[in-house]
Amino acid sequence: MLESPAETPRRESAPAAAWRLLRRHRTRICDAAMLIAILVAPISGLMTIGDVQIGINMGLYMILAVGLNVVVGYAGLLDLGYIAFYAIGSYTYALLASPQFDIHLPLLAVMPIAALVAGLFGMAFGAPTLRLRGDYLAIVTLGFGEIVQIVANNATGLTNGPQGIYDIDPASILGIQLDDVTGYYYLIVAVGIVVVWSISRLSRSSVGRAWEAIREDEEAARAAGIDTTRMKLLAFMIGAMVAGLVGPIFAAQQAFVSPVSFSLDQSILVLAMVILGGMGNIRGVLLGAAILTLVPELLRSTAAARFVVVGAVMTLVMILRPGGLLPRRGPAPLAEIDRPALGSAVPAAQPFVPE
Amino acid sequence: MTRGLTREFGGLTAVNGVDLDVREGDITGVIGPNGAGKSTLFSMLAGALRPTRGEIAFRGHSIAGGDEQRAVQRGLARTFQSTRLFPQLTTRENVLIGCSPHLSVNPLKVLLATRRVRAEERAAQARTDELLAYLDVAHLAHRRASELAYGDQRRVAIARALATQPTLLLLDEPAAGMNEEETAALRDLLLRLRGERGVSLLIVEHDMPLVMGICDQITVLDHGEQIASGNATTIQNDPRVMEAYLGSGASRASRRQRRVRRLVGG
Repeated sequence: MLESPAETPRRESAPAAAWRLLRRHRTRICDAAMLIAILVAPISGLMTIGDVQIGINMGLYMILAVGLNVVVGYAGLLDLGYIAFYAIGSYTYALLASPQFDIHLPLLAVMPIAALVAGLFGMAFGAPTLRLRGDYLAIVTLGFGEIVQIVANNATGLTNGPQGIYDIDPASILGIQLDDVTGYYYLIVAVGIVVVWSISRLSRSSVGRAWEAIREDEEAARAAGIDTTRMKLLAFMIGAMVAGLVGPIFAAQQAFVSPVSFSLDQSILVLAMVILGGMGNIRGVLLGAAILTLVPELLRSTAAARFVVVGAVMTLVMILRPGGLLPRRGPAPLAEIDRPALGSAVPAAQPFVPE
Repeated sequence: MTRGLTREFGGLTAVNGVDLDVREGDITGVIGPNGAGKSTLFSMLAGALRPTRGEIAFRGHSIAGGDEQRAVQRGLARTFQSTRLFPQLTTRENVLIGCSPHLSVNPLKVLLATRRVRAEERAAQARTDELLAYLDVAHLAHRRASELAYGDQRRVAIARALATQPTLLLLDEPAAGMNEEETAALRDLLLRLRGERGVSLLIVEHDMPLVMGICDQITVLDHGEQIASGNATTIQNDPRVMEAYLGSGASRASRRQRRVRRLVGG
């Protein structure tokens, strides 16, 4: 990423150079600072057990939002039943690690199984429906979310119906039981890092480009040689797998699952996080999830009024920043605009066009 | 290339039994008055529309399945009448997406960045930069497609189609909405594409001087029927073509003209 000598200002003072470096790497610095804060917070003594529990909920929602962002933000498929895949993941653990059938598999073994099961459901559901567009797909996904909840409520032999499944095994990793919230917190941070890394890597690859092409113009994407059906199915599956992967952590930490946790408003909440933060931007989506878990908590003392406040905040953000808090592409970094593309004779003065 | 190609919409026969031959290295033109079935023919050739009857063969393979993506893999690219760029993506990303047929989208391989994936990606990036320079849009590489001037959008659309590495490029009214100067530039570009990159071209176009000027073979459609094909001179002198374009009066006029000429000559 070295700039050619012609573009660097000729003489520069040391602080100015440092400032420029800081500016150029500001996103990387912010990311590192956030990560350190996340890692240190629970052991800093500044957080109560309750705070760490909020951190756990926040982390779970962040991961869900990143997963839904693949479907909605990248591929542009409106999914209103996303929480169903979280339910499938949670119930997979509940069934494989509880007295329900007296099976007791460890969490780390169940997580990939749950992701796979959710992914298969995603594929089975997506294959016949992804040909639908926009609103039609949204309604069908809405139906899917409802079906999963209804099955959980009524298949009493399997899911114990509305009573839910109790006494789910706590997480144990390599034989060590995670019996306090801090353990779960770090487990979620670790899973979150893996998920965010994988998804952002995919999003910057040929896969992510294909998704974005489909979102922008499906017919043109097909003409560019993209197998749109396959790529849409892949987005749907990967989204489902992310939700399926973290479902078991939720089930293990609660030690209890019931259909109530997977209602439509949960799907809508995760979708709101994606849209508020900025569709198609992982940082934005994480921020959206953080805000929509934290704000209601901070306003807990105001009881029901907090939902009014949250609603007002969301409306305001959408009016002022329709692309979300961190839109998909902010103003391109200066370095990127100034750097001439390979082998082209760029006129000396390229006007900087703010977006 | 096509044999008896027919497409019906309900009771309407939009294209009826068209036999079109595209020779490698040629610039082939398809013309016809409005509603002649040009766009329907184009969509079928691009694999976007399944023919009701008839065959489309491309380099020994049948591509009449209405499978656009496979047609692209076989080396058949298209542009759209309206440019249809991806508006929120940059010029460079638009062209890079054109490289899709040559990139693996296996998520596991991509995540692990296998050697092949990295090599493919490098090749795609290099090809993109080369095409941006070739079509003179390199200075717009990091602009959003929606911000580009119309003429630039057109060139980016051609770059995106070329990125799929086609042997035959289908152009849907490439000169629509262009002024004379832009059309002249387009004409040079198309000739260069054939000459320098060895791409065969098939153009569906309204602009007569452009088609007559650069096409080796021209096919004329009217009401879904193929009324003439041949080189520019043949077409220009075909009475049925004149009739289709100027109405029966014109052909009567031309017949009268010829009669007059014969009389004068005799």
